[in-house]
Amino acid sequence: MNENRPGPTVSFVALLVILFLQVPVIVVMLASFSETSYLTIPPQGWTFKWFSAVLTDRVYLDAIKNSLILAVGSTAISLLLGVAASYAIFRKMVPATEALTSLLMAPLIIPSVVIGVALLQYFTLIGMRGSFWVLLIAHVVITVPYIVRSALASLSGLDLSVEEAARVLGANGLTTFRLVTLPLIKPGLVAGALFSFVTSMENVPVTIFLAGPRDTTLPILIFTSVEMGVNPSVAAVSTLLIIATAIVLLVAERWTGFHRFV
Amino acid sequence: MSSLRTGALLLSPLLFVLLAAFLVPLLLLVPTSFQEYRPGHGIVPDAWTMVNYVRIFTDDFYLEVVLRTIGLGVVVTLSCLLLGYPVAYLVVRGNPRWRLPLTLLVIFPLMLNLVVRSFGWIVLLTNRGVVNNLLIDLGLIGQPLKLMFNMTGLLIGLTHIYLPFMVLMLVAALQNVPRDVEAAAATLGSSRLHVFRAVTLPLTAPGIIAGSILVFVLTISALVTPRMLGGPTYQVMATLIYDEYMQLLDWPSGSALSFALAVSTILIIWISSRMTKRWAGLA
Amino acid sequence: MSNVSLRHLVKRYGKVSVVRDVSLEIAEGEFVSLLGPSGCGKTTILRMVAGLIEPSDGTITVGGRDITRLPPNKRNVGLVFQSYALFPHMTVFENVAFGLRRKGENGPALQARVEEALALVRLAGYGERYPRQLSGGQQQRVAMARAIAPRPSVLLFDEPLSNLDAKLRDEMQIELKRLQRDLKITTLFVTHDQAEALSLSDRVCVMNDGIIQQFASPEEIYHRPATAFVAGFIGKPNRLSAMVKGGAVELAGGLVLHPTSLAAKDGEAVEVFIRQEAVTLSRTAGTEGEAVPGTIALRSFSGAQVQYVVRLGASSEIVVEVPSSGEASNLSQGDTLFVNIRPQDIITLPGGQAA
Repeated sequence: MNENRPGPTVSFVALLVILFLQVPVIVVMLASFSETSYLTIPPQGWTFKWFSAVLTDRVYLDAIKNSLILAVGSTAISLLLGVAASYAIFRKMVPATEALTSLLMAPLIIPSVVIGVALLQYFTLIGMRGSFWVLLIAHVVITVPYIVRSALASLSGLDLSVEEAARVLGANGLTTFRLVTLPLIKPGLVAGALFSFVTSMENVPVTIFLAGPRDTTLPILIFTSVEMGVNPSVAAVSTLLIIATAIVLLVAERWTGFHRFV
Repeated sequence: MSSLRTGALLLSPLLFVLLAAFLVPLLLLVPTSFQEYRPGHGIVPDAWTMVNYVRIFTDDFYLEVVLRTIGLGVVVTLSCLLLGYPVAYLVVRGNPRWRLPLTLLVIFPLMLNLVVRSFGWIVLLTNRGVVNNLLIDLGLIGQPLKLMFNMTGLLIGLTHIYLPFMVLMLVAALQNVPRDVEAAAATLGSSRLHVFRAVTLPLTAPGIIAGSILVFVLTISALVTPRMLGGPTYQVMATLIYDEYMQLLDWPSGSALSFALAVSTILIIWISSRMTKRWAGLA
Repeated sequence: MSNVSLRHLVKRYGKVSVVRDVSLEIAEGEFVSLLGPSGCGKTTILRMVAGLIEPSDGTITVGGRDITRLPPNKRNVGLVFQSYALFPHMTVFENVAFGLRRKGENGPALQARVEEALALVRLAGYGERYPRQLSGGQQQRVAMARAIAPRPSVLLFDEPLSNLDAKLRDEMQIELKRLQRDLKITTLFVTHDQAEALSLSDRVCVMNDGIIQQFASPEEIYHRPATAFVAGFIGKPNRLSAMVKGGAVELAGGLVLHPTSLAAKDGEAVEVFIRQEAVTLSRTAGTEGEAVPGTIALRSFSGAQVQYVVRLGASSEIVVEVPSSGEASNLSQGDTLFVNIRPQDIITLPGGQAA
């Protein structure tokens, strides 16, 4: 009995499945370097022309810029509002904390497409459709649950007497939060912020209903251009996203032991 | 008390945002779903009707889409479970040195842009895609297989998208299985397979259920992957909602369908959490 | 440095009262322990003094200043937690400097005060370490340095030694006593460990069920317990039911003892407490006090002590503890002997049931 280690069959199947998880990633990267506009294995000819096409195309650059502004902006707002709300809930400063938590987490449960059409109809009704601010607020709604979830989880792991110690030593509520609470929940918040960023960065179902013509984001651009057929520049921009994701994931793992928070 | 005032101050900005840009918009879907839509005329004012809901269960086209969505949810959930369990088992019980790299390889696709992942499957599955080219080059098939715009494409794509969620749920569940219990079963004369069936599997049941509920709910609500791999013709509920709002402008039908979808997911999650709580109480 | 007075302190949670009308005067520089079983309200009182719990009623004054409604950061108290509650993300130096910085201290003056505090707890040179790099005892001492560094008017301890192993606990007890004597800070020390309370304190306040049972010097608490609860809680007492009869007490089974003082009148029920360690055993009857014949029913050796269960008369049993180096240490089951009890060690308190 070797301690219930997985046998060779189980290990082999598991590794195949993990490979299956990476297949589209590998294929997209190969496609982005391929001379031909469709991909064969092995690829015929290598080129960087699709990358230079993407990086000189105003449409792509604008979409990347919009996506980044939206993701950074909504994550920052979600962090601010989400951490404040989570702290109030955690310290039970208000009644009905369980119901409030459910409300804060609700955007995670309601299908995104439903949130999308609901916001489309609502903002059309009040005449604000197509505004960038509407899009930003919508992204706050869909990203804030990730912040709240990680903030509440980190706070619940906190030794409350540490906060009390700071209070007794002369720190007021805000100083205590800034010098003691915040540094201690920071790793969890970094993980939550990363989830929030990724969620905003990849969102289609809400964005597509709300984005004005000048606010097109990168995922919307890929989503709609694919309807017109496979284009190697999509593969190139996808490869850029793959590399960026891999770097961010590895850095986050280094910094905070990210996998513990997933 | 002053802590209530502080609490209200901390909570109100977020509550205001969620009220104004989430709760109220969702509730406003309800009246729309009872309105009547006439093609060519738009929404008929002051005419209230149940037809948008009745149609979901009576119209052949709608019924097919709904049943397809549910069927897809079931099949994707099962395949995620079958493929995910060995992975979770290897991560938790395999060589500890492999643990972190394997976990990161599971998380990586999860963090990768959904559109990019779906695009990858288009490159693989399209008529002149990698898979068909490979099979033709190998002489296994003469004509390209139809791998997209049908159940096959959606099944493969959605399984790939939601598999990491299942694996992570199962990893958490497997970690909570006390090794001593398995060892006890083994010393009592159980074979490895029997230990797994009689001890490990039942003890990870909560994780299996949680993972399955999550994958099922995500699958039936999915828009991006079904649209990219199914195209405008092979519809599921989410893509139908999308078309009714964006192409047909039949908002009443779309909102009824939205409401039905949202209520089903909430019910599924609510019932399952009730069940899990009751089980936890027994344990 | 200041005296502390608690007046009619009450803490209720809903309908449950955890602290019920507690009044306590602690003199300047005095070391007072709050001793009692868990749930007796001692920690609640400590936390009310620190400002971490708001009293339902009553007042707390320190050096004549009413601090009842002040937030904890305005009270100038030092608190040492059971869990130490060190800031894990700060060095030892920053932990100790935390309270000083809140008072606006900085530069060389801050440096000096932190080093002084660390030296007091014999941790000079540990400033750059993080709490996780220290042993339990060292963390405990950092917690103390952090509490004393801002020179609080009152020092509060919440079971500070309960997370240490027995040997380290004894060492820290001595260190704590020395520290308090040198600094002369008014101290309130919460514990459930009677030996700790008795050895450290100037006065001990025994509590049960939210009420003060007795507030007196350790000697007084030990030798003249005021209530049945205190008599039963302190030391290792034998608790026997008896009736008062003609200036003496009669135990169940007819055995009669003659205590120096009686807590009840003739015909009333009393409880009799005789400490295990206050009794001696001998083959021949002793000359002083009572010499009650008995039989050894059980012997149990535990290192420095030997415990015997001794049967007295027909239906009474008492436990006797003798030093294992003494002559009565190797009696065996069935031996008959005399149990010698001095009259002043027979404590009677009202409230027992008639035997």
